[in-house]
Amino acid sequence: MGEASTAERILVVDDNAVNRRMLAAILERSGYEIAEARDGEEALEKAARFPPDLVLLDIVMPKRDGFEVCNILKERDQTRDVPIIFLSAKTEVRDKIKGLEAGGTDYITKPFSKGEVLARVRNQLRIRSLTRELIQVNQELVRKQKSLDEDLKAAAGIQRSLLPQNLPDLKNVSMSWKFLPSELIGGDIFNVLRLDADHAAIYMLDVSGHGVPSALVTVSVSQMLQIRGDHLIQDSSPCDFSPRIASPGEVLASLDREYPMERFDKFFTIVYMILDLAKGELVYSNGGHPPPLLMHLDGTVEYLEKGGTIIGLGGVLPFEQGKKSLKRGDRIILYTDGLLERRSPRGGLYGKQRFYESLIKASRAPLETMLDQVFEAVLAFGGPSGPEDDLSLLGIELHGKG
Amino acid sequence: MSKGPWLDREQIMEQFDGDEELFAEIAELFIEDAPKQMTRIREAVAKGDALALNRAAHALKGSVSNFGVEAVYDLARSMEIMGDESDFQEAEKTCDALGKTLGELLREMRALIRESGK
Repeated sequence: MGEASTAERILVVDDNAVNRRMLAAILERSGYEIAEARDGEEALEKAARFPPDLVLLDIVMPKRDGFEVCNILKERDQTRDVPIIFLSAKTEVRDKIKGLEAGGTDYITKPFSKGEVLARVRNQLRIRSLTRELIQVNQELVRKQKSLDEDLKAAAGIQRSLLPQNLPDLKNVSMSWKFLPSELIGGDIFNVLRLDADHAAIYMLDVSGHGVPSALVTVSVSQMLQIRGDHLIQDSSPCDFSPRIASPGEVLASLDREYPMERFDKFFTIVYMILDLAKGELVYSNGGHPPPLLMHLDGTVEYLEKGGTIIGLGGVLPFEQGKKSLKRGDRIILYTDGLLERRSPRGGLYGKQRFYESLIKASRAPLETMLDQVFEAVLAFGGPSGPEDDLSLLGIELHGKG
Repeated sequence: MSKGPWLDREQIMEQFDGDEELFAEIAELFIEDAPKQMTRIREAVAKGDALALNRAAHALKGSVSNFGVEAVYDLARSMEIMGDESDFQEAEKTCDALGKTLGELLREMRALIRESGK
């Protein structure tokens, strides 16, 4: 006779004293804790006070029959999930069906046999304990997921703080940007940094993939570009004490050394440019990023195509630099491939041509409005669904010079 | 009407899974309980109280089912139906037969408990 490992509680409800005792005695001998009730009222009262793990419930009883008791137990929070085994006479098939429909989990027919009673009771208790475990594990999962979501939201907040919140106040330059990550946090980042009185660095990068791992790489790279000035300002030669600003090609080469693909199992593309406000000159290089656009007031547009490979390949090719003289009203547009690869519901890509046209169409509008309109057009193209990739768009306009 | 022995030892031991102690406990309870139900049945028949007859016969039927004694079970079931249908035509006769058979069963049961050394 197997002892039950923990004293599980069973409520035995039957108006017949002999039957009730028979069930109770069988179960007591197997180590279960038993409460007995002789009618429906007593059953409800004991179910509230005892709370059982299982109820054996007779059908024909004075003061509320078994079906009524079953319904009430199923309505109470405390006993909603407690399995109920109906006790029915062998001949009353209709009662068995009615009992199962009322929410009973099983039935035992009279006369009771000890072996059958124990087998059915053990089965139901096992199902009950597995169900409980499942509920518990599920609650744990929901809790963990919630905390993960909260962490992700916090991370997204931190990442947003790395975007140009307060664009440096540069003389004769205005800037605007749009950013929409595909998940809570993304693999795109960009910024504008003031290097000295006349120079500003502008960059935009896109780490492969998105979500947490890519976002962490964006944080790492942006911190490096922000804090470790040595990447931006090269040490001068021993006899010249004025610091020299590192060229875009040098910065990309140094990133290529610092972030080999094996390091985070990620690579990234980046556009890095230095704006010389005194000379009205732009020097840039590009590590595999979609080429920035230079829009002139007269409506002509140039692609800034110089550069090299993506970052992380270990210097297979040099990062070539391009140089442009800027005129008043020129706009520099940086973006990530998420915009070009936005898909329409039918599957077509937004593409370079549509992007180009949307810029031209909005080029008469002020910079911020232009970016809003282009971003809206890109989003609208994809229909109601959110972006599959991170979307970044940065614009810079020159007011002075030329 | 056939006479006992009413108890089939083998069948009982199967139903009680060989647990003689359990059998003794339940049999003693039955010996105490069944005469009370029988008294209720007699009173109900005497008064012509159909509902009381139905209830008491139902209870006795349920109790005796634990020992697989068909003769008593069938008589109790007949009386339960009579109560349900308010049909007292055969009630007195059936009641006497039930009382007699039950009396024999109870005697046999007492002997069996003594014999199994309880």
